[in-house]
Amino acid sequence: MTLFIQQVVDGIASGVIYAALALALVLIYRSMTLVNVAQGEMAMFSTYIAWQLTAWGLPIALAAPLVVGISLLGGMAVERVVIRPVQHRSVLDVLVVTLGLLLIFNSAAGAIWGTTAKRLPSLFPDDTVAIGGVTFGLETLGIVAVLLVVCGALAALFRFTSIGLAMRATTSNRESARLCGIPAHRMLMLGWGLAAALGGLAGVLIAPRVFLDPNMMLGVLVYAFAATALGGFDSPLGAVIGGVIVGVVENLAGVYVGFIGTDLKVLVPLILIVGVLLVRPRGLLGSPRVARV
Amino acid sequence: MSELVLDGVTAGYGGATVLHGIDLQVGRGEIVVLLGANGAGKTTLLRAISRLIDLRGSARFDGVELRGLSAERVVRLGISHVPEGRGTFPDLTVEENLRAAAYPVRRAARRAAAERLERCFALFPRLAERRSQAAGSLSGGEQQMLAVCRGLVPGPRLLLLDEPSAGLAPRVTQELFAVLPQLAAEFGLSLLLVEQNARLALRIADRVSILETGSIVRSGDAASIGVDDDVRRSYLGY
Repeated sequence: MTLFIQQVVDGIASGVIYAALALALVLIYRSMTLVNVAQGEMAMFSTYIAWQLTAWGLPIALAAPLVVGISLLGGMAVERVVIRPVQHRSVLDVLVVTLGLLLIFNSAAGAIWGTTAKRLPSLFPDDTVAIGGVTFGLETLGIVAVLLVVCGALAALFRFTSIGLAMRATTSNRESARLCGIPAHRMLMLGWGLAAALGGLAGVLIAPRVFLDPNMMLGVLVYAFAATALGGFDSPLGAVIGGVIVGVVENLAGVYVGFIGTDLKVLVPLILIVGVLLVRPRGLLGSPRVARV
Repeated sequence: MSELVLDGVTAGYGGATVLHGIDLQVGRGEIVVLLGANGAGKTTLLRAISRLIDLRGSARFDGVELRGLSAERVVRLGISHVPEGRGTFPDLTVEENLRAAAYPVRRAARRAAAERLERCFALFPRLAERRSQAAGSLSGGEQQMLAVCRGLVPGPRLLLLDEPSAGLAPRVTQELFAVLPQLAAEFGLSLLLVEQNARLALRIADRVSILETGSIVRSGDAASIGVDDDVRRSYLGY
């Protein structure tokens, strides 16, 4: 039982990281009906910047928030410079552009920092704490706490601030937003910034658990896709719940289903994706596709 | 004195020119109705004025040239455009729709915008009852009321209304047209109204312009246009 609880909590810790990246995907999907396949690579690039800052002697506790800020600006820049000029084209065209971004970030990271894995220090002490007879890693608990706070802050931003309302309005109906005097382009840019910031945070949190190399986020992106497919591609809450479910299921399957082990773990999200798409294509909390004719 | 002065406005989509040199004026407090068949360019004209699409020629509002401005900027000048098909935010609640409309309002004017919002709720009690419902769940008539309110909240001096009766039950349309002149008077608005229902529109109009394949073919007082035989045959059907 103790092992089970530990595995569940461990799964939740990976799950909230998948959730963060999934949330980043959902943010952009909702506002542009576009799946940003470069989201993971942008996050990886952010994580390298964090590593560079620590290599220059900055403590990770300072480098992490700094990188989140840099990612925010970087994401906005990507939208402004790369996406906006093509965004009136077809969804497929824009998708190809994001594929290009994926390759650019991936090779740029390799060119700048090399392809040998690096170690990013953890934000949290490598210590454990016992709660009710079950031992938890402080890192595990820290990750969950940080991302819960971030999700809460995001929810508050969207619900209670006028800029959040303007972003939701832009998502709901871009032309009407402009007719309301809302600078829709700036809102989309901010959406990309927030998504990149979330991704950067996810990268910084997960890097100490894996190793930092240019392909680090590819797997995480697959998990994030599974989370969004599970929760619904247009539902932020669904993305978070989906992320946690994927994390937990992945972890439990690795431990309890004999033949899966650690090598086949990556199959779990794929099976989840296929399963969900078969049974409930819009995901757990996604809105059904309706069109008024 | 005219608030909106269009002088040889040409506009279109891509390579296709839809409007060919439109001259039109809307005076302060005036209700001007734009009649015309489908595809005549009525919607295009409104979209050009609110700067959703590019225009050539000159469009001045209160002496300010609109040609180089963004849509967001035009709203701040005091022009609200309620597009055809209502243009509300279906995922947002009724109240959020109206608060989003107050986005461009400067801090000092927030109180006045909040008062206009409450005034809208008083005018349309059904919206007040549904203030925390998603706008997408409202009936067609309620959504149209909401769209009009959305246009009023920022405190415009000119309201561009595109086919407000489209898809509405006749009774709801009657209601809406009964309240429009009242709104215009109360909020100190000029109105540029595109409408298929010519008979209703003529009832509230001060002046009428008729658009045919991108050009204005007739303009005049509502009273004189309404008795013109050609116009009656083409647009009023009697």
